[in-house]
Amino acid sequence: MPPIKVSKPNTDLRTANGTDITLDTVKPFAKLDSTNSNSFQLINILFLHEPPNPDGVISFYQRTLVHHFPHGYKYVPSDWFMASIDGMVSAAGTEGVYLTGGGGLPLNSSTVFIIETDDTNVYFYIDKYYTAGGTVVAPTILGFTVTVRSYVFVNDLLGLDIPSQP
Amino acid sequence: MSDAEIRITKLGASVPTAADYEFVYNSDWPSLACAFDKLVDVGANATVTVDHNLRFVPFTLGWIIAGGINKGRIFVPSESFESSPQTDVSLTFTKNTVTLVNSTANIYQVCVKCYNIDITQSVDYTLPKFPAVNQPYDKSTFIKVTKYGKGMTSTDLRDFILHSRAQSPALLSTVVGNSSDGGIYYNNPASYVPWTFAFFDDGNGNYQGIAPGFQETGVAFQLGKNLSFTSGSGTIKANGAILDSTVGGQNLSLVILRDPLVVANSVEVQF
Repeated sequence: MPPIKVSKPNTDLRTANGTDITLDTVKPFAKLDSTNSNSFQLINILFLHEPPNPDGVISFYQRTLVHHFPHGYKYVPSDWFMASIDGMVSAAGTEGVYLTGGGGLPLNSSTVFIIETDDTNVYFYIDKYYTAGGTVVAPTILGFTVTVRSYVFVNDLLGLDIPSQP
Repeated sequence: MSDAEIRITKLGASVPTAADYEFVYNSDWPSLACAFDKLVDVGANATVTVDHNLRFVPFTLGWIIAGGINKGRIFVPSESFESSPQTDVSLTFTKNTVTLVNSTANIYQVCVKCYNIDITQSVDYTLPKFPAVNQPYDKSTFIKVTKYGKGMTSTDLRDFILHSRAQSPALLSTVVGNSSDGGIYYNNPASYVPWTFAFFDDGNGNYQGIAPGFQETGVAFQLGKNLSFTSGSGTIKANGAILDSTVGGQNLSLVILRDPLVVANSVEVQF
């Protein structure tokens, strides 16, 4: 069956490509399920407690799970995240954001907000790096609020959309 | 010329008068559709080139996967992520190819998706009207197009090209320019920070994506409210996005997408 195509107004379908075509039935849409409340979220995470630091003697890295939610699928979905540390006045990053530290490497005190996804859940982590010594102060994010705008698509990362037709 | 369009409203709404969010489907909005995708194995210190052959420079994203875990999308290294999986593999794309370069001894899979947006062509669409409250899904009025061999009654939305139960991010604007002419920007007519993707090339059509936030020298992508930057002898203020570069001759592109026409689920977490 031939595809159905629609071009944008005043554009010749015979020569249109890319953005000029608003519907092409061989190109699956990126889909957010409107009946899945976890597909489009605004998530505020307030840190009332300090995620643990590595001891800075034996261990220099510590990961802490701070939030997770089921995405509703049994596969690894495609997703987008936009993270902010000022209430979405500005975006500070995507699936990873430095909360403290940064600057040049090697870092001796830093905190990073990390987002990962498996075939069940979306996970929000705090990764801490701390190399004690001298006047270095252990990283702290007490009182921080991280805001995340989250899209979890129906589309699969390990099973593909294309080809959609033979 | 084509004046054809497809518009379907929810029950009780009329096509000529319906609010934007009352449409089940409206082909006037160029929604994000996948034109090419591929799951690529990228070995230690390997370079892999994939042909997409779309003949335009597509809006391209790559997700990095290790051990079945999605580690996030690939961006050029910024000061924030010099050593994360998101920057271990670089992703460069042109109008015909996608190239992945793994600079580490780690082994990854990368899911590459090229969408139907030409990032070199300027376009601008009107921001549609959003709902104040969520509208329930109406099972009685719909549009569905399945993939080949899939059934219309499937409950798996992956089986569909188009399904009105699902919403797609739609294109608001593509802004293009060259770093030699100053930076580029987008002013959002709404009061929220729009979902914006920034791309730059090496002057020869090899594009990469850059994440918002603090950057190293060279290309800088700011996404937020009350932004400003110096362009020539003047200062430009923007409420949305700015992409600037200190390197001459680079093609710059901002792709701005609107949120779906549903109300976001709001979640408060205390740790």
